[in-house]
Amino acid sequence: MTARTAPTVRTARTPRIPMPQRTFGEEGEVDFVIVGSGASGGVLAAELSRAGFDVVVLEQGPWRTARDFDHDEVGHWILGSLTGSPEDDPQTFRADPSEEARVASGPPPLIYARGVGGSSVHFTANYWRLRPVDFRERSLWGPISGTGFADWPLTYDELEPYYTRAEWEVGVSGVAAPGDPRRSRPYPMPPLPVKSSGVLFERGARAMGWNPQPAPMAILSEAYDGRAPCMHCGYCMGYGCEVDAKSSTLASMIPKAVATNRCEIRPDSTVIRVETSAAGRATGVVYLDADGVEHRQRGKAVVLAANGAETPRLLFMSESSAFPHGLANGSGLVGKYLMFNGQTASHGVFEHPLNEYRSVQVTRIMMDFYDADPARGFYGGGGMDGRMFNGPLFFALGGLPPDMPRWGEAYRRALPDYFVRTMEVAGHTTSLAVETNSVSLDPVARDRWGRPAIRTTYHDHPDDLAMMQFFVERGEEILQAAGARKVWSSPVGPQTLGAHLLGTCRMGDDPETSVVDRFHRSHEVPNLFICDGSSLVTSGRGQPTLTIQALAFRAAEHMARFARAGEI
Amino acid sequence: MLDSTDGQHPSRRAFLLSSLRGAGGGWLALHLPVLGALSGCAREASLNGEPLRFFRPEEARVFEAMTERLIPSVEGIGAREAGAVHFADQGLAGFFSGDAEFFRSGLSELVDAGFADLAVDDQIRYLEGIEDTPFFGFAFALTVFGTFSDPRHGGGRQDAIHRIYGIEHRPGWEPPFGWYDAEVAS
Repeated sequence: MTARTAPTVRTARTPRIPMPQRTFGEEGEVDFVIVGSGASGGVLAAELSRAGFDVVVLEQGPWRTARDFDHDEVGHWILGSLTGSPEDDPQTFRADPSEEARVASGPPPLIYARGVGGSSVHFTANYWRLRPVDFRERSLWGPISGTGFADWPLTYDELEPYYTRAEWEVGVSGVAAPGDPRRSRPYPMPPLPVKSSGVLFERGARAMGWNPQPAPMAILSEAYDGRAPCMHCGYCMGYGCEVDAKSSTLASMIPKAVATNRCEIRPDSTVIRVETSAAGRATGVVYLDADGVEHRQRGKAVVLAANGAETPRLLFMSESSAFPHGLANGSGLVGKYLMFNGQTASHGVFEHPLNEYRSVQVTRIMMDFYDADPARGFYGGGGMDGRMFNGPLFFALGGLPPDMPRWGEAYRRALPDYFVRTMEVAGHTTSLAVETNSVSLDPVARDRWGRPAIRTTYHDHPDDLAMMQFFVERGEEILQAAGARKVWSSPVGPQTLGAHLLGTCRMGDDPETSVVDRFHRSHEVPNLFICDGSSLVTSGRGQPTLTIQALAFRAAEHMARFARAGEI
Repeated sequence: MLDSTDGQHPSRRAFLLSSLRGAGGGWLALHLPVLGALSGCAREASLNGEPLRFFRPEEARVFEAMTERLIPSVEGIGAREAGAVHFADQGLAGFFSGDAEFFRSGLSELVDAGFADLAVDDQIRYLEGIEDTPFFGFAFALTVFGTFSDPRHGGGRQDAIHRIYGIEHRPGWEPPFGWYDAEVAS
């Protein structure tokens, strides 16, 4: 392996590399090639390079820094400045496999950020652990017809040390509450200051006899690890942080990976194929640079951490005579069991200003309805939070109650009154693993590189819709008990958009019913690992990023062990 | 991963989009550029001395009048002062160009009706008559985007966001943030 200290000029359009890093020549073979630099890819890069391995990370988007981020609502939400534009990367959607999927005519069905740090750059930073019940719920509840409802091949106790690692490595603000799952270490810093939405959420929930608690957030409440604390600008959800207070992997793990001098982050590099040998082993990847010029990067092992949509797309695109249905897809489950989590929104307007446009999205949550309850008559559970609605533009678009004028002078005069007095109670609920809910390759649509577009097929299970309706009603109760002068909710219906891209390469012990084993090694290709949202067996109750990162810390430990033992 | 975009936001956006009565599903689509919409005539036109990229002058005058009815000026700030028409002009020539001809077709009825020269009450009655149409939904969305956009996109002028909502423009805040957390803190 040769290494150079200066960036390699590979194309006419050299990607921006904002910090000095070691570079590896394409002619050599590194230990690990990681596809994706987001929530899991950033963790894997840091852990594997710290363990002494040479690592190249291929990221399809650019390498931005905090100085590149801003509060441009049109740019972020309408033009997709972080998530990519439909012209470059169209997606198609259908609710049922019998339908012909159509190119989405609005926001893409699957929303994720392109760039170093991936979607951890623009996530809201709610940072919840799963609970012990999530890992064995199939055994506790029993089978559910028409679903792939299953237990995980690991337990909460096995994952707990890695939850703690993740919280301390990336930087999380919070405080343990009485009903929380066991934790081996407190949060590294205290919770963020409570907002009026948190005070009212807590007031309403307590009046109902429930148990609200401070929200754990991957946002710094105080200086940590050389990074500045939150300045409460009010632009977290959907935006990159301008001061690196949000604990994206861009701010937290990527610099640690680069500092090892064993890791090269290669942005603007879109992987189009995992290559395999005649012996059925992964040999590296083929990728396109910003000019569309093809390159190869060889590796002793390949790790896919590209998210629950891009990872299955890449496996399908890596089909061969040895793997006719896509790489590592002997089970036929690659791309299947897509889970979004259910989302609900109830809104309330209060007498005095809340000023929710300031500070972070969420400061109080509640887990009283986390567990499934047979008395409800359907499976499901979830968590709730009190939060701000959205920015000024989206408030003007749809933030007023449905009985208010939608335009004209009364509308205009209502805007300032309601904008500062409105909050939301959000519900985050379970999604069942339905086989037809899936990511696949669209037979017609192509992206700018000629890759088949991602085709999403999705319709919420009836139990998931019932759970969402349950949470809408609880949300309204909290707002009313908190003294809202008016309460309303967004209607519950089948979801056509998702940002939690879960379950599409699920882990399990049985190669017939899972894609990767309990160590994230694919059942069929011994030196191909898959670790991102696709690994999840069940959806949890929303906020999957911490679990994805805990899995990545754990997976990296096992990958290093296998590598040292010559088992990859 | 957005927790909901936060997963949440997708559903919130879906709600927002569906809440626009009559907007249909297509207005937000960022279609392939329709270069034909950019006629040389349009590029040489202007409104109030400002060059236009998409609108013909009369179209710009009519749409500006429409934006003024949708988000009227209160205490000197509304869609007209924010330059919503210029956001629309820039957007329809660029990122909304796929919807440009649809929009022009809808706007032509207002042009033919002499909308810009109607009395205010007549303008309101006219808009009440079309408020369930896809054109109205698209026009409303453009007006909101244009009023509350970052100025780089052509609208959002005169600090419209903060003046309309009556809030201060600061890069960051300190607690207490609102009345209820201040009450608890005290």
